[in-house]
Amino acid sequence: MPPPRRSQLWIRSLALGVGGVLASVFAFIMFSALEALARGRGLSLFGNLWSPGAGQFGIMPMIAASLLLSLSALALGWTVSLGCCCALHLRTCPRLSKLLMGILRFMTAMPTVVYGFAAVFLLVPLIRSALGGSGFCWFTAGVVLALQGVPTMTLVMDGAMASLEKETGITSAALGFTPLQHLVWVVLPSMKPWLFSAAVLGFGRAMGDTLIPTMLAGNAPQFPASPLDSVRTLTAHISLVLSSDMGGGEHLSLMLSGGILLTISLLVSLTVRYISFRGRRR
Amino acid sequence: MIPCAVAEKFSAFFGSRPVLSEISLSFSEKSVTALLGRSGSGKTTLLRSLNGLNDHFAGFRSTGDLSVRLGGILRPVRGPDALPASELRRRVGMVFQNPNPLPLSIRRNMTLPLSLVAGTEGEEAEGVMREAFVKVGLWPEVSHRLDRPAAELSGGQQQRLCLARAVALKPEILLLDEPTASLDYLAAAGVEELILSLKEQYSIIMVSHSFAQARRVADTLVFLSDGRVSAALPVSDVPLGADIGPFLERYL
Repeated sequence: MPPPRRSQLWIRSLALGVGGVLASVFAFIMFSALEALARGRGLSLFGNLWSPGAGQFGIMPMIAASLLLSLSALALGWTVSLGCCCALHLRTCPRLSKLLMGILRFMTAMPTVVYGFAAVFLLVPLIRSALGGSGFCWFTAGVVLALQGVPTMTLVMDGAMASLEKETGITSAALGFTPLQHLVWVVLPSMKPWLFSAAVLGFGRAMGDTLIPTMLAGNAPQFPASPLDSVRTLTAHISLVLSSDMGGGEHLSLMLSGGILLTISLLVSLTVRYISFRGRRR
Repeated sequence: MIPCAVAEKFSAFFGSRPVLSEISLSFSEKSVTALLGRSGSGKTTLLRSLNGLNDHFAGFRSTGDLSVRLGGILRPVRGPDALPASELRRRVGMVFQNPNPLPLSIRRNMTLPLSLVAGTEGEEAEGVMREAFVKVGLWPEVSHRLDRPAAELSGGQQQRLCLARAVALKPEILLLDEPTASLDYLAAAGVEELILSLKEQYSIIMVSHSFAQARRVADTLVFLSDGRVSAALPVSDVPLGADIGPFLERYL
């Protein structure tokens, strides 16, 4: 039954209001980014050097760091998530599956600052003593970001896997497939769209996270030559500069960083929508 | 009569709820046995006990003996002397009430079980697939679109695909769980004809929702009521015409 006319009107105007607020935020950031480009001597903001003392405000190292860090965190986190999801569904040890699910649920509710804080005291010293360097580097931040993304990605995969298993489990069993054969040959090939949308979501989260890279990646505005080098992501850059400078070239670079981040998350969100739309149509 | 399956004081439970109570029965080889009964009388549970498929569900438990004849030897379905589940289910094939092709292509629906369960691959698997499709009369309808998704087929075609898939694995016993229940009249008639043509080669045990259908295709009728066998008799002993009402009343 559709809601009565008056509440329909209310719902529509509320939706319009919220949509308008979001659109204005989007427009504000995009205009600021364009203005930053116009006022920041053209494309010099896309330069390779960040050296405010010398009047160089290039954010290219930060863009590279954001992409490298989130892609590497995604590669690690996605693989672990797929493993977790398969382990949950093979039920070789139901008690362990239950425990794993409990931990994953708990992890989704944990703020990222907790991951960062724990890693500063546990992972950073370990990496420092085992691999050298300061321990605050691309590698450390990548591992923790991957860990942070695992629950979300696992839960997305788990939902799809559960419904596919329910649909096809008894058929596969009646044909004589073992649970592992069922998973590998029937379920996984059918859940490609969900595996992809889990990856896109995980990428979006890794890209947007601020605290973990700020606390663990070392924040040096440079192109990394090895995973043990210190890097600064766009998000970390915004939070660091915003907490110390309020004007000039530094500030302009923030607007551009914001614009780039927003564009990436918009693309991510549109991709997820497109995939789930296609998945539903199938 | 050589039995293809024998139940002796076989009882089945889901949790503490009894579904089958002390069933003693033998099913004859190379013929069609129809299981009839009201909903909840235990027909499907009995059928699924024969290929161990009830173990797929939580809380299933059974007592008594249930054996199937495979390769000329009567073997228990469960317990230490039983065949591994995947071997048992290959040799005791099953077709469900609703057509259930895997979410794969038509070809893959046939070749995947062949390669995983029977170890048949490549050219040989293609040959077995063609033979099975010809047997169920589906070959002309699918030969030009083997790589399309199986879900694109009509309900009747999907059900024949499922029959072909079961037959391709060269089972010795075929279990059919209301194989025509979700099909229209014409498609159902096609499947019925198919069952009649298959009984030369396989021992078929089917659950049927329709007494008329059971009489058309089966050689033996088994009536189940509240988890017990209320009658098991050859189809020639079933009365005709006006006597049918009281007869069914007595056994269902």
